[in-house]
Amino acid sequence: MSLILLVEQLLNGLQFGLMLFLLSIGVTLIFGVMGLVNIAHGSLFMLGAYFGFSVGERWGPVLGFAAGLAGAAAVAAAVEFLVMRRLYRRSHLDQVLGTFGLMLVCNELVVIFWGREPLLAAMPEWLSGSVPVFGELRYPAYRLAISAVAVLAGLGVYLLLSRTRVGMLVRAGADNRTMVEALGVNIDALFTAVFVLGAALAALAGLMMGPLITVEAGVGEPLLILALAVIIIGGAGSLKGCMVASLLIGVVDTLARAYLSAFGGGGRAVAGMVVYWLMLTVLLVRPRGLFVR
Amino acid sequence: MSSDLITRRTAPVAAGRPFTWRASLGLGAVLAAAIVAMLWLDPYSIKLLAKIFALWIVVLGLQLLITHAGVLSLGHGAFVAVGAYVAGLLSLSGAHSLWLMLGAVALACIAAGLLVGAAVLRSQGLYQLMATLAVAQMAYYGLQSLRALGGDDGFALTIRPSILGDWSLESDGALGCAAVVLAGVCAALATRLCRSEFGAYMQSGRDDERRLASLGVNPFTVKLVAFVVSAVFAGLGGAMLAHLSRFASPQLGHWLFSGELMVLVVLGGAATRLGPLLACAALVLLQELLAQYTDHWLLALGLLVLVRVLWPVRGRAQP
Repeated sequence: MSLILLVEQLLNGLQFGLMLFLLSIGVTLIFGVMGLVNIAHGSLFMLGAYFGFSVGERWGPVLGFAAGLAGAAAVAAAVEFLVMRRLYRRSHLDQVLGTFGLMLVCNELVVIFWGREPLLAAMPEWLSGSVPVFGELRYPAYRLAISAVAVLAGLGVYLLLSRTRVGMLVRAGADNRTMVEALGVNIDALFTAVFVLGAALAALAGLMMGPLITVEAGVGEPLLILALAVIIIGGAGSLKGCMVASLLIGVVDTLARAYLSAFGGGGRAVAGMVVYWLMLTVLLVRPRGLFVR
Repeated sequence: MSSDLITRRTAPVAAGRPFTWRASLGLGAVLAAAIVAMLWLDPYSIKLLAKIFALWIVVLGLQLLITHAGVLSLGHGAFVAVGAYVAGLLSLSGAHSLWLMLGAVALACIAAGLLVGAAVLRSQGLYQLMATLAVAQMAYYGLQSLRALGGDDGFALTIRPSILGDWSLESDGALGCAAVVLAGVCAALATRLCRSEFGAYMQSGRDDERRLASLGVNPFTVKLVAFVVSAVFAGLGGAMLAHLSRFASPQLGHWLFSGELMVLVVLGGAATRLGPLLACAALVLLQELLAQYTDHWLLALGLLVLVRVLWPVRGRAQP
């Protein structure tokens, strides 16, 4: 029984970590390449879910999925053009404040258009069952499916970054932005592309997490804080660090919440703090993250 | 020249005369006007005014830290919460002396500030923001788990502090006057500190740590002292806020509140102590006024912040 519980929680943790990974790719690339701290990235997660499930309710899940991705990407392109471009060369304080303001605006716009009631996010019928995984353990098919999609998306981003010309420019930009610019690369277009890609991945995470969580205004914020912890632990701009740190945080957070809550209030407090202890320790021991030299 | 909100121009390195006549008169006039208003206004407005001044205490400390010492903190809500909880605990345990409360809050925040500051001040920029955020999140979860103190919901402070024996600050007006006086003392202290030799250390450490170190001053110590001072200010403001609303809640430690505090610092500017007061007044009044017409006042705040960051207004230089 306890082994089954452990395996189940491990799977939950990995699945949560993969969702966190999708959200964090954007944050880490945007920070690594453009040097921009984007607090508003959680809003793109939220907007993806809102666009997707409101369109999906009327015209079916496939269209909804596409609408979620396209809608978030369009908003991201507009935001990048109107706001982010002015923030790239500013101090981190300005960036945090500007994107904080943007986040407040996004949250309130969602409340104005959709109301404060949580959104009804239905999971597809054919994925609502569960499959046998190990011994007597049956695991929800939906969670397995979204984990698979996340792995595929992560693989896609990895190939894009390591095998294509655009990916090469992005990596070069993360290492030395000024040099890339000096070589005649259209840095504006590159930045927009990276921002939209990050937004689409965040929206993908929002669309897939939707049925598992309560979709309401501000839903992306706790996840965004965890994504920032991912960047600190993994190191900015490192895809490998981002993945390892996401999975680590996902598993540690899930296991801590599953096992420590048994110890009452104190246990719950420790469970909530574990991720931040991890982050603080990494900050003190390896200030630039585990995977950045 | 960079267009960042904090530049040497808005808060120059200056150890000058501690108080100019103009600054003292301005501060005195504002305090006197506030106290007179406390006596004349209706109960609802008194509460708003008192809240503005209590919030001002918190923002004064953060202004010192961010704009003068150059330390970023996205976790000062935690110190506000510590102040509120210490004040609440004293009120629950039957110790109602105002002086005991102020002393206990200050001590608790000095301890917390030293501990947190020693941990987070070695990092810089984004990493500093994240470290302070991590600490604040821990405090938030810690307070939430205190079942005896209401857990998620927080707890009520039924009895307000008294100055001496039976002379209690039970009415909103009396407590409001106390908040105004405390805020005035804090503002004078902050001004004095900014214009002292230590203030010059803080500002030159912000601009160039190596230059400060080459003068034989340890930049870390300077930042730590600034951090502790701002933590104490935050705690005192938090205690006042808790007594005013008769309520202490873990939400004070939430990072969104810390973000709002940072917004207030930037809206208030670096040069004067009265700038943050205007920012606090704008926030509280905006919240109350807009709440009568719409519940989307955060939209207005978000837009205000965006506009302020995207089109920075150059602050008035320190006279």
